[in-house]
Amino acid sequence: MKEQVLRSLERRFKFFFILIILVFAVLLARLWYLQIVHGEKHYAESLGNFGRQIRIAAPRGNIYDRHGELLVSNRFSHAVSVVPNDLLKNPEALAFLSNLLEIPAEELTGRFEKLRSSEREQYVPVKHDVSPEVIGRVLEARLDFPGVTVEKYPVRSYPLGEVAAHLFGHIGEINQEELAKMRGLGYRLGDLIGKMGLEKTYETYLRGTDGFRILQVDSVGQHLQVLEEIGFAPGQNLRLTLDLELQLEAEKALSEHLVWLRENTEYTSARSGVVLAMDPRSGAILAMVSYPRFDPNIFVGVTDQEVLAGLFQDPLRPFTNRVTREGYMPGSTFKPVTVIAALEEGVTGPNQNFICTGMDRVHGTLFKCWKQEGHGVLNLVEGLAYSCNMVLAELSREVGPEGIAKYARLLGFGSSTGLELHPLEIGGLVGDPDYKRKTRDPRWYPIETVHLSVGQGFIQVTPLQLAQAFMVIANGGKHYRPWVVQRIETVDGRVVKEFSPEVTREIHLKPSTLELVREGLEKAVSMGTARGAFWGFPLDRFPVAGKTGTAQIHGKEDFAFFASYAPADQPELVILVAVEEGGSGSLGAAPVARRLYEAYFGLKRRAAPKRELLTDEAPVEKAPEEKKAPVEKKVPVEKAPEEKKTPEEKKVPVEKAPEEKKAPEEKKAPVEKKAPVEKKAPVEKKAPEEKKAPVEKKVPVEKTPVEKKAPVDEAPVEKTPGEEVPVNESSAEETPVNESPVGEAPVEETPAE
Amino acid sequence: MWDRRLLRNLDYQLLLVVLFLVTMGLLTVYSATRSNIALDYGDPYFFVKKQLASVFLGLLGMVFVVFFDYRLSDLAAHLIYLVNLALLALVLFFGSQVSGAKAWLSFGVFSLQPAELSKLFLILTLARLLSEKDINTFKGLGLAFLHLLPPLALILLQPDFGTAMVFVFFFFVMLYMAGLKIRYFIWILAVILILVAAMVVAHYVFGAPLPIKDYQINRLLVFIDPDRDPAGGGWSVRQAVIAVGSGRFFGKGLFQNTQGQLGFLPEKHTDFIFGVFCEEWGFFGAFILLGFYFFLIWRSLRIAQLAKEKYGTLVAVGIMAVFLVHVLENIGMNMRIMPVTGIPLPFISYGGSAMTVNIIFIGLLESIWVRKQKILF
Repeated sequence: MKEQVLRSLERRFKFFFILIILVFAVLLARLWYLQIVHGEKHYAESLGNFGRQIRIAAPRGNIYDRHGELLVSNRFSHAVSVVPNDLLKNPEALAFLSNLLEIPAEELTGRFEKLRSSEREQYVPVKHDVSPEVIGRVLEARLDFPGVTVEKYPVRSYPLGEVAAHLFGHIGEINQEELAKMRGLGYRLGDLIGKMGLEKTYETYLRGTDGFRILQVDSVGQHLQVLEEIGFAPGQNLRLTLDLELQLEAEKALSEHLVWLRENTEYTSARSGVVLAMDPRSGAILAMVSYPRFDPNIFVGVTDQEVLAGLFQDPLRPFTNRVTREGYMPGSTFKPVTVIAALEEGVTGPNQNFICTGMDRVHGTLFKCWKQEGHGVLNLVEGLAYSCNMVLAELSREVGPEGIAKYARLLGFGSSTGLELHPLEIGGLVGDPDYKRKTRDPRWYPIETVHLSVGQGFIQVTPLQLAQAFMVIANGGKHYRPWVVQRIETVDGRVVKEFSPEVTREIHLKPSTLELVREGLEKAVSMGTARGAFWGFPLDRFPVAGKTGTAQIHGKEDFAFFASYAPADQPELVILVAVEEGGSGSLGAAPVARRLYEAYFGLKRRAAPKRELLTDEAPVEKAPEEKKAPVEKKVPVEKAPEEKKTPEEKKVPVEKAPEEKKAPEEKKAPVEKKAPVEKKAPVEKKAPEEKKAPVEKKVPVEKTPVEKKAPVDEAPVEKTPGEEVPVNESSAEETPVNESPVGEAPVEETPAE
Repeated sequence: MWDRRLLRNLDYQLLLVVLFLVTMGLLTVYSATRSNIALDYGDPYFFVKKQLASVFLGLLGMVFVVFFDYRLSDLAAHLIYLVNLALLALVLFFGSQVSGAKAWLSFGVFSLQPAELSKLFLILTLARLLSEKDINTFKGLGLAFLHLLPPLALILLQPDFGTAMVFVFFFFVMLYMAGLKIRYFIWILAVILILVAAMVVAHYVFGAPLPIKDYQINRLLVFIDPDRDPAGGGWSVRQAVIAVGSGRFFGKGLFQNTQGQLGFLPEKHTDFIFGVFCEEWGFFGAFILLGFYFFLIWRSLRIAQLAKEKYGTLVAVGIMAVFLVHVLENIGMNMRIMPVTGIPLPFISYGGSAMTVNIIFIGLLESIWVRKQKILF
């Protein structure tokens, strides 16, 4: 009995010995699992606990012009950053911040809850660009509220404001779509990323690499010490081909000319346009203006949503880069293409004579030259110079629409030029019968061939393509890929990437063809349609070749174009100007180009073209169906040619000094070293009227031509009735006024530093 | 009563192991508190000093039980039982409330945790009862339960669920070693299950209150799913696991516990001190620590086996059970294999009453050990 009890007791002891072994085996296994198997993970977690990361934002790369002038850079700003978890735990701190930053507490907590839990343990900016007063109050309160701090960080700065905005583009917060695409590159929610222009195109170079500071914090978020700091690497700098001086001149010339047009002519809705300056020897872009513009600074920091909405709803679409994204009917600037086609196809020659009577019937449709009384007898060169529609109509009959389209494509129309700039350029349209058959109507009417030959109808070109075509004419057949970034380099000057001129295509035109076309373009400036705009310009020293264009758009005023290059014998600059609803090319566009040539060649401005001189060929034809958006046109119907615009339209140029009104961006000024004209400026500013007087004195010569009347003085056909009178009236006393668009610009430039 | 043979026959291995544990405990308490909460008292050694005082108090108790005897007279047994109940009742009226439980009686600088002392008292009186009565009778079993229930009820009233579970654990271990037949265990289990079921039914059908509090339910839920309340109840468990795991093999080194010193680990010098220890000493240190605990518990059971009479066996088994359940529960909750309760790690966790009582436990074990064979006397 006793034995039994003892034996059972032994068994019970044994049970406990086994139990103890089991318990310790389990504990040891678990210990192994936590410390050895998952030790590294837990170690990292323990580091993550006290190592609070603060991101040190890398400044984006700067952008410089070709001479090293700073175009886009960074400034420093302050943001209030918080650790969301610390704030969620501390309603007092939340209330304090909500009050100070004027953000409702619910909005803050709502934002925090959207973050991932790991992000809630790190500093997250809640308000950018805070005022010094707010900074002070946050710093004072920081001791009471751990997890709240002020961070200094670089923000993008566009010191030139709206200048070249479409080229530089802007930045903005990364969106979900971009994030999905770029997550592999280390982007996070809330990061800023290039949204358009160079900012977007060269994002990977400009961006740089953020640094980190790892702070040791305790569980309530107090900073104890800096554990580690990984410095940032600033973004790489872009060196552009852009010439800031020329760019500023282009911006100013265009904006001032638009104002001048609105105030002094009947083209009161001239508010948008384009200036493009390129080097035909390389394809480098020297200046690029699209108007209206926007200020990329509005996307930096806290964006004013109202301002933004206003810009987005603006019917003039200030965010559209018209240089690359707008398809225009080129009007007469397209005529050289037709002429080249005719010459290359051998259907005409330099000696052929044409007769212009002012109008013609093309298979029953009335087609008119802009000069109602006709040009009389002229040869091919003169046809180009005077932009005679009848010459082109006759050529087009020989070449046919396919021939014109073929050479249009050879010169680069209808396909992109290859410029690396976001948003990418559009290809435009070269509409031949084949195109029309596929897209709208199998029938092709002879009048449509005539329209095509003069740049109307089924043709849409970007200003970039137009400039490209003139570059090809200027350099004898080379298509250079347009480029604007010549070098990407690190902060310490090491070159990361270098760009050089790239010939994408070379076309072979007969030397005789080139010679003839160039002669025509040169004469268009020296004695043809652009003569008035270049009145007084030293063409003997700096011969300019160019072509005016006036495109008729249904429901709108005419669009003005001027495509040109200079010096004509050794082209080094191509300038293209387009002004929407700016009237004729000679009035609406050429004066801007002239101003740029003056700036480029360092000329003292000696003369200003007269209003009367700034005339151009008339619109091609009056046929009402043409007036409707020509592209949509169905069947050209023969309507009474007499339907003209109302004669009264032509107003007398008003005598306002355009410069007074405008005061265009004075900020831009920095560049003006060159122009000798500007030195005078300070004086002029004060008393604009007095100013003019001296100008006139100096250049007494110019008055004469005015009074005489320029030979080129043709008024558009429609406007005939009123035309002559106002011109004459105004000419005598108005000289100063007329000068203004071109001549007086310098006044405004001066204020700048 | 003094006998030099006592000294000669002491279990010095056990004493060395305890000395090691106490030393590591003091070091770890110092490491966990020196740079933060101890500074609230203006002295980085504040907690260490208080702990040392408890150690000396425990040593006095140890000397007393070694050199006198662990056996109790009737009078002493009744007295101890009454003192036990009195202290547990007093703490309900005069105790200071700390984190939801009235567990401490304050006497100026020192405070007493009657529940810790109660373990000692109850083991002694229960062992006496179990060694004298025939446990396999209704009367004997009934008396044993009646003996447990009053102190257990008072502890649940504090409420101190963890300590109550410790009581239940060593009560059954002692019943088992007292020779209770397995079928009675089955009966007891059945009764308990029925009672629990009845309570749950009463709660959901009649809306009767459950005898456990919401936070206790929450602790259990958090144990099952620590992500359900990551900033609240789940926080400490998660941080403890990080602390343990981040020690990796060799640990971060002495005084390098970031989890504790930077305040991520709550109760770092008491409940979660194992996390701090592991963070500093790694698997290497923890393995040695577990080895010492294993020796301690194994040796307790061995002493129970060798005790010269049933009373000594039961006392030693009770002590073994207390050590075992404390080590399992405390280390287990630090590693998230047990739910969180406020049960300290013997000899390591800061806590005066527990330290003193644990050392007295060792004294009792030594006392039983030296008297295991009459021949030596």
